[in-house]
Amino acid sequence: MSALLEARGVSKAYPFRGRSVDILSGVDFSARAGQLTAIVGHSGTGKSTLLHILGLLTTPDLGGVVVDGTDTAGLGDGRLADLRREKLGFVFQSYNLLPQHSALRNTLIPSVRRGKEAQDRARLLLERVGLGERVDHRPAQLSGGEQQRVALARALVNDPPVILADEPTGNLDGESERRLLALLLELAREGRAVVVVTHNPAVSEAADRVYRIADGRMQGPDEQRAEGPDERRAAGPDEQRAAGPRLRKEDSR
Amino acid sequence: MSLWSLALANVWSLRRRLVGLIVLVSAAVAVCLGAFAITGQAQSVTTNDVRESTANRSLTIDRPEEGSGNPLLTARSVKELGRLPRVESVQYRLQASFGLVTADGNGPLLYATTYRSALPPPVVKSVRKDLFPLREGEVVLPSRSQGFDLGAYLGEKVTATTTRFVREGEGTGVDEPVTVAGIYDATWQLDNPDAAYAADATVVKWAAARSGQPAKNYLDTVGYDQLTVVAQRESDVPELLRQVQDRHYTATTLRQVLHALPGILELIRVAGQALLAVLGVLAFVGTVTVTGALARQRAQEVGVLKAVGFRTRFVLGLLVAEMSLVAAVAAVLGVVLGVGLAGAGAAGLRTLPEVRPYVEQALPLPSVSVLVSLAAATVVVVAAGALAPARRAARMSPTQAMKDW
Ligand SMILES: Nc1ncnc2c1ncn2[C@@H]1O[C@H](COP(=O)(O)OP(=O)(O)OP(=O)(O)O)[C@@H](O)[C@H]1O
Ligand SMILES: [Mg+2]
Repeated sequence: MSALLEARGVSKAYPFRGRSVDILSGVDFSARAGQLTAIVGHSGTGKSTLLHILGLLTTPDLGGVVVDGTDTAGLGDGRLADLRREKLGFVFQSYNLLPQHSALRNTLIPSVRRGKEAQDRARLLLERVGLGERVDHRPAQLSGGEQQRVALARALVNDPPVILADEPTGNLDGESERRLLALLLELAREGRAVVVVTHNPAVSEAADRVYRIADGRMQGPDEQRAEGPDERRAAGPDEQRAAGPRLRKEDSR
Repeated sequence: MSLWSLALANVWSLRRRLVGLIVLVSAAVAVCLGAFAITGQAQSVTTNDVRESTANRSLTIDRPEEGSGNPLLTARSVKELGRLPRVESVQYRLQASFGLVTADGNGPLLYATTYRSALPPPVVKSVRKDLFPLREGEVVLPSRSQGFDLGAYLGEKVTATTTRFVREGEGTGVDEPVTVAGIYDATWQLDNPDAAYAADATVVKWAAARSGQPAKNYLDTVGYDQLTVVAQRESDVPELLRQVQDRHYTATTLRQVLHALPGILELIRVAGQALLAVLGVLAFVGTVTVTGALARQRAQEVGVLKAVGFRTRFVLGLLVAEMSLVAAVAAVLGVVLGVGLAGAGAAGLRTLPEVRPYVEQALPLPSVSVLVSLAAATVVVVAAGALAPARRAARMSPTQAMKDW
């Protein structure tokens, strides 16, 4: 199975009071097309740090990240930005919407498409995340969960093969959480590599693979699903991406 | 989204926070433009009326010193010089002094002066529309002379006391009634400040009486005080000057004589230029401050834009484009305000008689080149002011800018 996103031997330290504090040391990670991959761990263990490194927002001190076959080591700022735009959709822990713009425009901003085509796609995505009625609302006029979904629509606007989401269910109630989880799984089943950082057991249980971070080290992945090549699900008509395998849930551990 | 559509959307949604900058910059533009429009018009009035049209193409020849052997400025000289190549016209000036006596008593000593169509004085008030040529017995007085305010005598009969030759070194006064047909701006210095314009025949009569020569052939025996030779083009002047000097006339070019605007307009012009510099700096500093503050407030936004895949150059371009849009709005606003201001300023200045002929058009409109360059300068100044803070903001790494976790 192809790894759309891979990290090899990633280390990151932050300077703190003149000392260097290791957050990640020699972490390996990979996320495959068609799968929901979860990263779990206690607070402060470096999950967001790793996700930012995977999202090409922070450069690791050691090691490298490969995105859809492109080794990002040594790439310039501009090329990294292009990769972020085309290959990666990032949903931030604190959404990071632009406060002065409507949900629609927030979704539209990174779009590489222009004009009506871009508008139509943005509207479609907002409908898909259940915000068809909220397109003209500004972030301040939306609930946390709604902002989260706008952020997800924005992450999807250029149809990237990789989606990275930091605590996507952090602020959601049970029902919204279930719907978002279903949506994330659906996005994975359309052939994307979906990576979520989560504290939420429901999310990690539903994930195909789970990585655990503790003391700067990576454990896992735990394969939670048996791969059933004969149970492939066809790609949707508008999503021609290679469909990932359909996976049966086994007993959670 | 494309850079300009996002910039437009940002400016629109941030409009409340940009109002201050827009007001500052548009006020700066308006004040400069107002000053430029008024002085520009005044300048073009003098330029069109005098400088470009004739004065800059003119030579003046003064009456030779007695015993110098140089030729007199007679009617024949006028003909001779008129036949030189590239001469458009030859105009003469004759002056004769007289004492002005009004109903209020003795006035200044003035010089009756013939009128030259190439160098018309700026008439402020007159009894009729087409004042020149003057009729015999009419004079046009300066608005002020030797401490006398003469503007009030328009249309009135006054007395001119001229001198009649008795014998060498002795004369006798002769009173003659004249009508004040017009008043001209006393700052006009071309025929010296005490010139009073009168009909040719009147001036010849007075000059002849003073010298004891018969008026009939005065112009052949004594001649004019000054001739003005107008060349067809400004570039012909040096060659013409040489030819005239070859004929032993003492000629000078007029070019340097006419630079001065009335004091108040000169003041406005200098003030306008000084303001331009001050306000330019103000607009620049204002933009730096506003952009800097906005960029700090919007660091998060910069981080987000970079995080979702915009290049540093795009973000930098976006911030500068936003400020350029602000500047463009301010420039347009400033132009409208500036034209209004110029109109109001000109209306105010029209109440001052000495400035009036220079600001006669209802609305002094600045020239297109002034408009365009001022608008362009506004955008450039503002964009330049935005550049440094924008660059600082755009260079941050996305994570650093967002402080997401
Ligand atoms: N810019 C920074 N400078 C110094 N230390 C940092 C910086 N960013 C993160 N850290 C430290 O790195 C550690 C890991 O942070 P990170 O945000 O990755 O944790 P996390 O696993 O996402 O936690 P949470 O579950 O609470 O979101 C924390 O201890 C934090 O203090
Ligand atoms: Mg985190």
